[in-house]
Amino acid sequence: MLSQFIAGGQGLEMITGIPFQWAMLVAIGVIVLYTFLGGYLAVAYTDFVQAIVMVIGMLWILIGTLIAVGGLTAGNEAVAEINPNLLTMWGPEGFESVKWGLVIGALLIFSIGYMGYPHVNVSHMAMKKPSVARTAALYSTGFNLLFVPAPYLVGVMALVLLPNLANPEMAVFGVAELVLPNFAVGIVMAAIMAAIMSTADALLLQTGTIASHDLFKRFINPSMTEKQSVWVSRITVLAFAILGYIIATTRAPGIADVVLFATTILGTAFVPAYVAAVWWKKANTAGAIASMIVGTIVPIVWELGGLTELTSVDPMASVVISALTLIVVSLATQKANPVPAHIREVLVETDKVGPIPARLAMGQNNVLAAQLPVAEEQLSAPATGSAASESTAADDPHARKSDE
Amino acid sequence: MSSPKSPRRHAGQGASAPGAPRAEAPDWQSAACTALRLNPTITQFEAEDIARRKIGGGAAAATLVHHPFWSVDVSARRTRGPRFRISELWRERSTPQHEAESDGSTVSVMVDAKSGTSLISSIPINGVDVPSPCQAHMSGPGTNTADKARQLVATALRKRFRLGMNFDLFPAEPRAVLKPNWVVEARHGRLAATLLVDGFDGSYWVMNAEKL
Repeated sequence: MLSQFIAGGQGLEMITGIPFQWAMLVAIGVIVLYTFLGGYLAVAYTDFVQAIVMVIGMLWILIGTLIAVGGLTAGNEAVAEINPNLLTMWGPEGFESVKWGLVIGALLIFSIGYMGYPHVNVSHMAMKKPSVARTAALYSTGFNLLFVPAPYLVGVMALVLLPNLANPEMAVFGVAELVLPNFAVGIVMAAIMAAIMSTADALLLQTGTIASHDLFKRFINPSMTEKQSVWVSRITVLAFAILGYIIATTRAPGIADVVLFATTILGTAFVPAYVAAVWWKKANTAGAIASMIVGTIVPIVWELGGLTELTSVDPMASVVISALTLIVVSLATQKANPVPAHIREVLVETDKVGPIPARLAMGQNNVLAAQLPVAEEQLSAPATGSAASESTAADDPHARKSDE
Repeated sequence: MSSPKSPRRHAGQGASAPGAPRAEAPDWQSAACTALRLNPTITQFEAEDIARRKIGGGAAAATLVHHPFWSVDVSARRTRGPRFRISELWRERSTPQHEAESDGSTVSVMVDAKSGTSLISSIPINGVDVPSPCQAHMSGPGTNTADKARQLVATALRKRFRLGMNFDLFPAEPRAVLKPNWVVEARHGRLAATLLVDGFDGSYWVMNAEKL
């Protein structure tokens, strides 16, 4: 959230020229206002519109950038002239200087770290039914294929277009200003701001919901009304926005550093628990909580204790420790802390959802997804009347097989 | 908990109609434990054939299962606006036989007892009363079933006539029904799939599919 606030402030500062503190105040104010007033529905709708603006804006910058450098091949060659190693995944100093611990850590961060983002998981939980997840997976894959490569390519080409860029974190903003006509700059800046805002608002709302439902209602006032719950959530959103503003204006760290570190901790703390919740029937509450605590503490101690420098192993690697913690604690506490019956039922339901070949997936009736039979509810009353022939299978569990 | 309360008269846009028919409050304690098991119009062989066609041939075996629904007949009375037959709302999906049987003044709404979703239906409500586990019809989301049916029909009417009509809607007593579906296990070559085939229209949902 802090990184989104800082990025929003810096972006607005660059666009408008107003001082960073004021720019960030405006950015946070707008985000808080619509989160505060609209809640999750406002966040969902604004995220949808922002996603469209993001794709259009980033593709526009990418096209402008490629035209400016003379195409993909010319851009590639121009980067190679600066340093051929920049075109490899090993970094500017080449293969010999690779710190494998950091490379593996980066791979983990950008592959599974994303799964730990609470706002992303809440979006998944908001889906009405599994069929929505299938459709959403197609849409999100299409969106990511269009959107994600663009800022990476623009960032690489910034080495050519803006060789004297003071702050690398402003590369996309800087390139946009350079390659686009004035009228377009405002539009694509809105796209970048949209990306920042859509993440910040979701995180803010998530914080408010955790405070009101998971903490306040659970531990402080279980009989609180919906109205009180909403106000606890709103006050939390406001408090965290103010806190974020103070930290960002007094000791603003680099955006990339904050994003990487936050993703690392979210990944190590939550990914083992999320994955086990879906795939492992023995994962229990004690194991999940232990894993989250270990997954939070270890990377912080690792980073602040200087172990990253000392061992050249990224703190993200501690996801292995949090995963092992989950396994060991879950197995050790199976008797004292059994998996609740309703969770086991959900896991049985989840088993029914399998990969569907394309020719089968086409033309399904989504309404039927809500009518999946549960074993104990399959009714087998005797058939009478005109349904006799059709009901044979219901009476006889070993229904006839008909071969072609 | 789905607890269908006694159906009451619901007004759409416009004034209420004095003397309008009212449905009596049913005895849900006993009614909920007996359900009308509907007869499927898709036969076992047809369900298996649908599954075989989807996976490209092979073997298939169908088992009849039932899903708990509430069936609510909703009648409408126009108080302002053009004449209409409420049964037009499902005309696209109805068969000529259904249309002939319908008097045009009511429309049938099916409310899923589990998920609470509702749909305007052309399903023929024919079948036999069978004992049904009470909880099968009592474990869904907790709003009034008759109200859900009324809201769905009101939405459909407003979508059709916009603000050009005032109407009163009268949901009848919800009736517990068991809608038939076929669970078809099919196998062809290295592909095994389990399909849920609708017992009335033959549409399907893939429950599971795997390569052997």
